Order: sequence, then C-alpha cells, then structure tokens
Amino acid sequence: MSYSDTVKRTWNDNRLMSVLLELTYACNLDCTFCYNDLSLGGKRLSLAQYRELLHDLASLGVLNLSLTGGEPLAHPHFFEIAGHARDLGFVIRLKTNGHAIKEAVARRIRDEVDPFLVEVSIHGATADTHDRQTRVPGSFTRLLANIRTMNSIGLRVKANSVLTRWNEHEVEELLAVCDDLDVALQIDPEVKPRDNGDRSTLAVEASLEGQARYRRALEAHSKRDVGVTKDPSPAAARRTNMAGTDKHCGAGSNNIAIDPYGSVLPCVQWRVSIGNLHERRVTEIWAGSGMLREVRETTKAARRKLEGLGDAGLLSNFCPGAAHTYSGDPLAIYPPAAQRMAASGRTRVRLTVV
Amino acid sequence: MSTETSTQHYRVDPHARFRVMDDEGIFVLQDAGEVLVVNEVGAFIVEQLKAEHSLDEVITSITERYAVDAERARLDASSLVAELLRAGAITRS
Repeated sequence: MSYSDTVKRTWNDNRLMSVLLELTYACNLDCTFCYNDLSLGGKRLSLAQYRELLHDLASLGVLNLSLTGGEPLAHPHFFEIAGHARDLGFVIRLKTNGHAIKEAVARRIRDEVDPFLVEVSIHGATADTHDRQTRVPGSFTRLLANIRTMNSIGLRVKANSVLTRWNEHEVEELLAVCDDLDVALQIDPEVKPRDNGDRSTLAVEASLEGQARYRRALEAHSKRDVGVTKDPSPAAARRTNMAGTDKHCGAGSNNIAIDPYGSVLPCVQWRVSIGNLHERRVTEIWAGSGMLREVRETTKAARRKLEGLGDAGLLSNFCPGAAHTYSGDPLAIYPPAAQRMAASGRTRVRLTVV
Repeated sequence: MSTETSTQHYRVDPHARFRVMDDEGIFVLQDAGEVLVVNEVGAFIVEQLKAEHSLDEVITSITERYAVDAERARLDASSLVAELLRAGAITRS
C-alpha cells in the first residue's frame, strides 16, 4: 500500500488526516493581497480549548497539523500550543511570513516544536518587489537572513509565493534566489479574493503574459533540475492521480481548517462553517455535522462536473472553495479556472463564468 | 541477520511521527522527509512497542491475535523491527 493510496482511502472513508489551524489573524506584515477577512470577529479560542482540541484531534488519529495565521507566531500562546502539538505526535507544518524568526526564535522552534517543515512567504526576487507587497521596509533582507539562519540550525524550509503583476517580471530571478538559499519554492499563480469575497485583491493578479512567463520559467527550471521534459499528457497524469476515488478533493473528507474564533471549515479555502468549537467539540462536529455531509457530496458533484468537461475540466485546477468565495456556489466555474480551461484549448462547452 | 534480543524494548524515534489509520500505520520520518506505511500487523507491532512491550511480549501478542505460530511471528516481528531501525523510524530504548 503506497502513501498516495492511503490518502485516497482517507478521502473515501472520511478519515480525518490533516488539520490547519489559523491561530490568529494578527500579523507583523501588511500584505496587499492577504486573503484573511480582517473584519471577522468573535470569541477567540483559549489555550485550554486549544489543548482540548489537540487531544481530540490526536484521538481522531489526525497526522498532519498546519499552524498558520495571519502570522502564527503572533499568537500569545504559540509555543504552548505548538509544543503541545509536538508532544501529541503531530507532523507539524508552520506557515509563517518568517519575519520574526531570528536565531533565538528559530532555535526555540526547532527545540520546542520540531516541525517537519517551515513554510515562509516570499513575494519577489528583490527588496523593492517584496517590500512593496508586505508594506514593511527591510522585510526582504530580514527574510533572507532568517531563512539562512533556519537552514543553518537544521530547520527544513520551503518558500511559498503568489504570482502577481508586481513580481511576474522577475519569476526567473525568484527561482534563482531560492536556489541560492537552497529552499524549494512553490508559486501559486492565482491571487485569491479575500475570504469574505472581496475581490479588491485581484487588482494585482498576474497578467496573461506573466502567467505564460511563469509557466516557461517553471518548465525551464524543472528541466534543469531533473533533466526531464514536461509530461506529454498532463490530463492523463491528473486522471491517474484521481483514480480510486469519486471525490474531487479531500475538503471535509480528510481535512478541515479551524479559524481563530473556533469555526470549523471544510478546508482553508472553503469558508463555510460546519460547526463551532465554542458550541461542540471537534469529535462531535466530525461525526455529526449535516453541513459536512453536504460538503462531501459537493466534492463528488464537482468531480462529475469536471469530468464531464473532458481534459479541460481536469486541467482547470478547479477548487470548490475558491468557487464558493467567488460566487457562493462551490460548483460554479470562476474566472481563473475558466482561463486555465481556455488555455488548455480543449473547452468543448460554453461556460457561464461568475 | 538481526542482532535484536528478545528482551529489547523500542520506541518511536523522537524525530519520527507515527499514527494508526484504520488498518495500517504511517511513519513520517521527519529528518529524511519520507513516509513509511506499514500494514495492519505492522501497525499492531508498533503499537505494542510503543506500549513498552519487549520483542518477546510482542511476539506472544501476535500469536494470540492473529493465530500464527510463534516462529512465524518471531520472523515477521524481527524483520519489521530491523527494517524500522534501519529507516530511523524506531530506536532502542
């Protein structure tokens, strides 16, 4: 049995495997396209509630725990929560902007949290571009220094970036910067609306030329790294990955997200509450939420819909959560997915785009 | 050839993580960045080791639970323990 088979089984059997905790929306940077809904309010989960939650998640057999925000290190009890998670045997991924992780903090993270991976956000190849995005002068220089520090003490670091109109001209340099730092880089080509549906963030989404440049840069980089050519049939590869399950994704089936106010969500992108930890424990929500059952059925409907669209549907990178954020309908094709379908050149049906 | 003694105890390596998922077990080897999946019997053995049972005690539990003879249980358990030690998933305690 391979790991990917195991993951598919968790989708099929509704076996909770991965949980993402948004600990706080507080942040020491001020990124222009941050997707968090900063107007969201409510009663924050207490440290005691986090402890109870982590015990419940361990009892459910959850393996992967992502700690994010906002900036997770801005939570006043970050180290207590993360250390407790470590003690309970979770595989911890820390998603951070990296700004606060100087040497002393990096050592605490290594010694008290022992994360599998620290994921940092990098927004450009130069200080001008990165700092324009974060709106904090000096943040680029500080991030690079902090990444080197983390590397030097044995933390595994990965960089995440979002392709925007501001950094699309330097995507090759960004790959080179990360090569130089010896960290893997993952670029999300899609700027998302904010979690409340506010589309003002899309003002900085990459141009079509920028998207094409990004694909060429990624292909050239991948050829140089591993000496292979691009998969001749990405749709076939996607079909292979999707075999053995009738769901489009694991949202609400093997993963959930939890916001700072206790709302439990099918995934970090799908912002519909399936229950709240101030009212019920996560074990009860997982076992008995009617909304969760609806979500699971929707992932099956999404699968059927995309398969009906042929290769274009498979190559759309469609996300029901993103669709829900765009229009309230998790099955509606939204603009970036439609763009990718059109780019695949195989769109056979006329689509209504929200 | 295994050099493990029957009274030896083991634990999950501090840099590895282990979870039982239904009828199989998953190790995440944090240092190597690898995942190792063990079958139902493997998961049972690891759970027994985590409960601080010696290899001999684990073998007895296997014979009771899976109705196999002791020699077969010893071979299977020793082989798995050796493999997990090599992979860095468990350590001697």
